[in-house]
Amino acid sequence: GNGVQGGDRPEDPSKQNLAQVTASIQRTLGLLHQLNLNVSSFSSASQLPLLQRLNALVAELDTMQKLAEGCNIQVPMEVVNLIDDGKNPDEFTRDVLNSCIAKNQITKGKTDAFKSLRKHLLEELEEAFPEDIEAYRQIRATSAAESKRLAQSQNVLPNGDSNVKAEH
Amino acid sequence: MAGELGQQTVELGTVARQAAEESYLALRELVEKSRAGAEGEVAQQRSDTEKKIDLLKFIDRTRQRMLRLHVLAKWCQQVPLLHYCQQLASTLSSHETCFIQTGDSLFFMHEGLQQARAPIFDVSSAIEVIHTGSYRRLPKSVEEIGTQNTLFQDERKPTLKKLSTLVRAKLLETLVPKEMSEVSVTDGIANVQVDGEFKVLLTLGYRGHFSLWRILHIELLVGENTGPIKLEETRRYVLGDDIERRMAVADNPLTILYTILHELCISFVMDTVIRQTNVLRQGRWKEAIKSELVSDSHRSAGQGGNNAPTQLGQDGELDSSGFRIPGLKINYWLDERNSGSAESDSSPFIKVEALQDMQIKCQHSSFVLDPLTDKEADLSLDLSCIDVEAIILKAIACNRHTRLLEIQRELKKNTRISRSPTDVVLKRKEVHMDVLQKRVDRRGFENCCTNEVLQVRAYGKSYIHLGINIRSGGFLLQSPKNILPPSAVLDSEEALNKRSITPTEVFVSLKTRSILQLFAATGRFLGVKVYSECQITLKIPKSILYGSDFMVMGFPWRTNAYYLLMQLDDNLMPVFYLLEVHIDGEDRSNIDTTTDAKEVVRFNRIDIGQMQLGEDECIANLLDVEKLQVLQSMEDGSPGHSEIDESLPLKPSFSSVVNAVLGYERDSPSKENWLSYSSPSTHLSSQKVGRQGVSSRAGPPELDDELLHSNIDTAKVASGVTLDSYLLSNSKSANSTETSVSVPAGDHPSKLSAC
Repeated sequence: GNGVQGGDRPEDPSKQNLAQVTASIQRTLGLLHQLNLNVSSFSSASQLPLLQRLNALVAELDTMQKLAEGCNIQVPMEVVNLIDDGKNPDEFTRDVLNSCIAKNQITKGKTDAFKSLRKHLLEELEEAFPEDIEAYRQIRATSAAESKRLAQSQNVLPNGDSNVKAEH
Repeated sequence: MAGELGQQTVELGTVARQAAEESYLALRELVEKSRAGAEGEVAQQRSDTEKKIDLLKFIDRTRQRMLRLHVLAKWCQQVPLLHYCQQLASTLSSHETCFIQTGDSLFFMHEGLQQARAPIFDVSSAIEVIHTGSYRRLPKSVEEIGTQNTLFQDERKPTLKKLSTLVRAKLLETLVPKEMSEVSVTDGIANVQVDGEFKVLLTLGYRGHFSLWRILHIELLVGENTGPIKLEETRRYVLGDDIERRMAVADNPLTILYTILHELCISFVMDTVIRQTNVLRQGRWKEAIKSELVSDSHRSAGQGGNNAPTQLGQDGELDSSGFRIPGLKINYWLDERNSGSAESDSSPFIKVEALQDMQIKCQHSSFVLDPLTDKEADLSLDLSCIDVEAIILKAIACNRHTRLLEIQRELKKNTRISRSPTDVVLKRKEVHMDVLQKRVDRRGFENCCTNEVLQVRAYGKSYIHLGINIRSGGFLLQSPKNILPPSAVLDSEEALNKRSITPTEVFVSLKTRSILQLFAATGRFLGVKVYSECQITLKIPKSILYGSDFMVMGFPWRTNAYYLLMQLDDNLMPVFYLLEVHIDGEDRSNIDTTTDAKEVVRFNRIDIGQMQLGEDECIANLLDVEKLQVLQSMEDGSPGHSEIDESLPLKPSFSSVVNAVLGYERDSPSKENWLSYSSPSTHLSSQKVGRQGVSSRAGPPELDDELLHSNIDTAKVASGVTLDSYLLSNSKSANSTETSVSVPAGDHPSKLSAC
């Protein structure tokens, strides 16, 4: 998996759980492989190991089941379907990411458009009412500094980005 | 897209469990199958190869399952990333919404900017300013600032003229109610007035419509003596607004105006009347008047001095919730209730109410005459100066006049009381102004303050006065003290008020008694003892009695065997009877205490008409003792036949005196004896006693009180005697002859037991 930054503590138990389940599944797979070898090249001497491995398999299955009880990770159906279809489930993740990026781009575009409108408007207004615009700029700068101070003191940003750029 | 992905989820644990379970079950199935094969028949037994194949299949399937599960589990490590992306997506969508709103508001602002960019210019004012350099009127939007629009001075006159013309035209078109007495137009203002009610100033231009009326001023002209009722400012405005509104929608605006204001005035008037009545009821006229509200729906009475709950509020305001204006019924002379009648009361009343045509009318319960006009009394309420007390007083005065007039008519029919036009007269006496407290108008003053009395002649110039009490309506009898005792007057008054006897009977009785009293006084003056009822009891035969009023007189010497009965007949002529009473050896000296009734043994009528009297006027000098002596010497006359039919067993002195007197009469018929002893003879000259008997003017003249106490020593005797003179001469002779009569004639008559 990808190393996701900002992992929270409360997720650790579920991660551990997931790791355990994965490990269990891996062991099961290993056992199955060995079993396969045993059965395919069966001889009278391999009876006992066969049985042992079968038992181990069953035990492993049981373990897996027990571990799975503590696992409550929600898996989108699309992923399951993808796997059943034999496709890579990362495709799903990729789709999600792509759509997110796309939305972001769209919104950014709108933001940019508004910014340019504001800039344009201020320029035009400055030509028409210079004093008013000057007053407006001062007011705006004061309030922006105010909010910046507030944000820095709280140290909580909604989107995780760095401080908002000062308006021009 | 990302929002739609990941909506349906499944739990990894579930998947893993199920996968494990299925694998396990598959294995078990294999085991079961092989076991079944082992235990079962040989035919079902699977070969090793088959078993192997099954097992391999199982392994393969399980491995597939596990692989997939493994992939899934590995993938699950990306879940945090997924969550993060989803958060981003939601943030972005909220941004989206904000941008949409921003776009919308920008669009609307754009619209608003367009409007702000280009204001509406007042082109007409601009043109006016350009052409004339000034402006006459500001744009309408300036109205909101609140400055007043007034015309310039030079513009006023023509504008007002135009307005007046318009108003006049409108008035011609509109139906003006006939009650509106005055309609005039000045300076564009129509002055509409209804006399005694209200005055309204109107103009045109209600809310800009020149065909609708506007009210500028309302004034009420109804009021009390303090002045017309004042409408408060706010009430006037509210009223004006309301009327304007109604006038705007009505077909006949002036009719509506009149109706509303008229009703208001009428309610004010009734309100005032009721209030004034309540004040009177609790004040001056307490217990004397009673008022009741009269209306269709309610009937509540307010008695005497109580605060009766009426449908009026505390201050007497009328309740105006769709309710007819109540009338008022004021009862006065409350004592007139017939106690035995089934009706609640029959006292006279005045009813003040607003009739169907909304005019206030005052009605009296019975027909009454106005003393000033001698026609039916017109009780009208002056709306500009409402005074209920004046109405009540006028009604009472008229009622009193009517009643006295009725009694006068009744008395005039009776010849015993009324023999000449001036016997029964209705008189009005003015009362002094200082008796009154406040100014009343002249008519009212005349009506209420004049004391109207019915004057009935007793005799001569003595009159008995009958009046009516203003407060109670009861009769009042009054007479000078010397003609009637006050007790008699009071008794008669009471009887009259109780209606137990008619006025005719009362007056006849009083007249009789007054005449008898005069005779009694005369008799007392002459020395005769006048007995009252309590002092003597005589069983007088009823055949000789004319009525219950009579006088018994005794003779001054000590005798109680003979009495003189004096009464008046049906024509009020005096009738005399001489009564002889049987004495059973009683002590004659005991004159005063005669307790047991004496029976009249004999009686004789003394017919005055038969007595001869001298025609000449010979007024003997009372102080002339010589003449007395002369007379005395003539006493020894022959016993002539007496006028008395039967010979009475008189006492010796008495009989001799009788004879002597009678003898005198025959001898000197020319001489006339004068009846009275009052010194001024002129006073009596009109009261001659002629041969025909006592004149119809009812003989004895008035005697002043002081004369009664004059000394009887000055008695004189002349020939041609009447009975009185006989008595006098008897007394003189008694004095001179010193008979057994112990009572000297010179005694003061007051010493005698007189009535």
